[in-house]
Amino acid sequence: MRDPRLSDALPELVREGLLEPAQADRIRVRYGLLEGRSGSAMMLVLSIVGSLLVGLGIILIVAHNWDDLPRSARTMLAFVPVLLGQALVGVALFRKQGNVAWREGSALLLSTGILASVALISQIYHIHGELQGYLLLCSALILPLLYLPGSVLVTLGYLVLVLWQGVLVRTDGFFTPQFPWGMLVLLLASVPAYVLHARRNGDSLGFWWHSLLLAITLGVAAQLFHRDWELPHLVVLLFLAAAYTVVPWLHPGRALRTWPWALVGGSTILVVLFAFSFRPLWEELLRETMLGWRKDVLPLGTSMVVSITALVLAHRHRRPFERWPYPEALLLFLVCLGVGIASPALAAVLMNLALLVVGVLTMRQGLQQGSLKRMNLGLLVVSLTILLRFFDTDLSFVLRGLVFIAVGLAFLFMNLRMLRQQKRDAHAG
Amino acid sequence: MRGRILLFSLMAVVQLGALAWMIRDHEQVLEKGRVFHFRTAPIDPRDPFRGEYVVLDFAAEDGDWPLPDSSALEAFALLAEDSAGYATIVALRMEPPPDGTDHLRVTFNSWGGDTVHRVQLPFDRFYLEEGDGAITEQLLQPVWEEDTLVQPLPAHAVVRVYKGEAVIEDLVVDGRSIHAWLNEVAPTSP
Repeated sequence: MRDPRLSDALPELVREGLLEPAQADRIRVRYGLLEGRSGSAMMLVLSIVGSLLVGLGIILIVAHNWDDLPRSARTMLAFVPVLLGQALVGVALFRKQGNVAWREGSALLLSTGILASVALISQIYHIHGELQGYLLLCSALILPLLYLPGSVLVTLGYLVLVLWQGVLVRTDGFFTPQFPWGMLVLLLASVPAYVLHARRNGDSLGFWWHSLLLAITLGVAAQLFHRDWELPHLVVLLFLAAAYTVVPWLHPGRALRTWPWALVGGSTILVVLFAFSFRPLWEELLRETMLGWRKDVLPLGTSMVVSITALVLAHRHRRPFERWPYPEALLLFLVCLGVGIASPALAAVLMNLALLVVGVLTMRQGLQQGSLKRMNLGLLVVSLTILLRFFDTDLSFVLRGLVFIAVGLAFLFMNLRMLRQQKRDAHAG
Repeated sequence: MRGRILLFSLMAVVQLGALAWMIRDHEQVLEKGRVFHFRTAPIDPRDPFRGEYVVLDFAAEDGDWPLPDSSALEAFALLAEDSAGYATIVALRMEPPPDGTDHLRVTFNSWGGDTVHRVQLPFDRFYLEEGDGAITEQLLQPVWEEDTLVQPLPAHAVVRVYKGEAVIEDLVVDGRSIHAWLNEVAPTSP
């Protein structure tokens, strides 16, 4: 929301008498430009880059290992990165309150300090253990920084570490499945930080990224607790993805940047629908014993309850097909599934039709809202549905060529039409 | 403000305390632990955060031990020394020995049988300065001699064991510390 050109233009507009100083101040408050006085955007970028470089430098020095130093000296040195980071976080908290550059920079430095210190102690004592143990300990020590001082960048890094740790734990024990309970605890412990972030700065770019990473991490985490992968798991995944796409309706009247939830959910739904536009996948899926869900009652049940709750809550504020058709795509999949039990081939045909419906609806909504991105997404869904049929039908090269030309022309025509429409609207305005 | 100071202090104490706890645990083993020599053959991987190390594969990890519990995936290994002075595992137990016999917690896969043929000791890596991992691996690279893979120089890890905990103290190659070898073979770059 912050626009440096706006901050340059405002004093000019006041000088020229086009705006009253009070009006200019109100605009500054609206776009968060007053915050810039205590720490400009440039300061913020410099502090983040500086902290990252210092932190990575410390990790690289640590990775070098100092065998020449006695153990006692190395042990003392292990505390230095953390003490340095803590001192800077202390300054940010008590001397530079409200200064975003200090808050982000110092918290980032302390986080990398923790990574470096634990690594150094591991080296000194030749501590065994896989990477997941190290990531778990470091994440647990970094967790308080999500609240004190409440750094956005550290939160994003934390979510990446937690996700990495969970995936490593789950993929490590192939024969004896291990579940990432530590990841679950750390992830749930970060949820209040998300709520706080939404309350304080829910329309910021930082919150957009926070939403994206939390959506991905929670979505992946929900899959890591399954022992099996069968039809019920796929259906629950689609319910969860549909619930993601209605998140923007869960906070009516509040402008929060929760669009990434819909982005992750919508992408998941589209990938599944495209996959099931092929007949062999239906045959494979319906051939399974479908009894694996009994082993996964708890994770599947939890995901299902959460998803249905979100869908019901959002239903009170959302009209069917409003903004995007992805929650409805879930129903289309369920219809195809019902048909698929009788005839997998017919299910694949219906899935192709469902994709065309989703594509056309997205395109229409894009045209109505004047959104080039959405219109092109709809066009892409329609085109991809047609192009994917090249793989399971025996079309001649001439016909394939003609389809490519038709799709290309459709993209050009629709985009030109939309741009002309936007120009006309601008002139009329 | 007071609440913030309190929370910040608590966070700082927990972070430093966790580091201090890690150090205390391992220092205690180094101070009070009994020395065991585990015969080894290293290879050279790298950790993205913690730097370069050699993975140690110990001769004591292979053997035939009756499985103490068919569903167990870990147990306490009772330690002893063979006639050459190297550490061996004499038995696996589900409980730590009450008489204070030196022991370690080990993990294993039983594959459904009633005998365990291989266990994983709770130490498997020895950190080195950057570049030294590859040199160490080269130094100890096994070679084929008349259809048999042999290690050119005998190597063992010096490990301190105390109350079921273990810390590697040194890696000894042909009777000398690996650090002495590395200083001689190729001084580490500045």
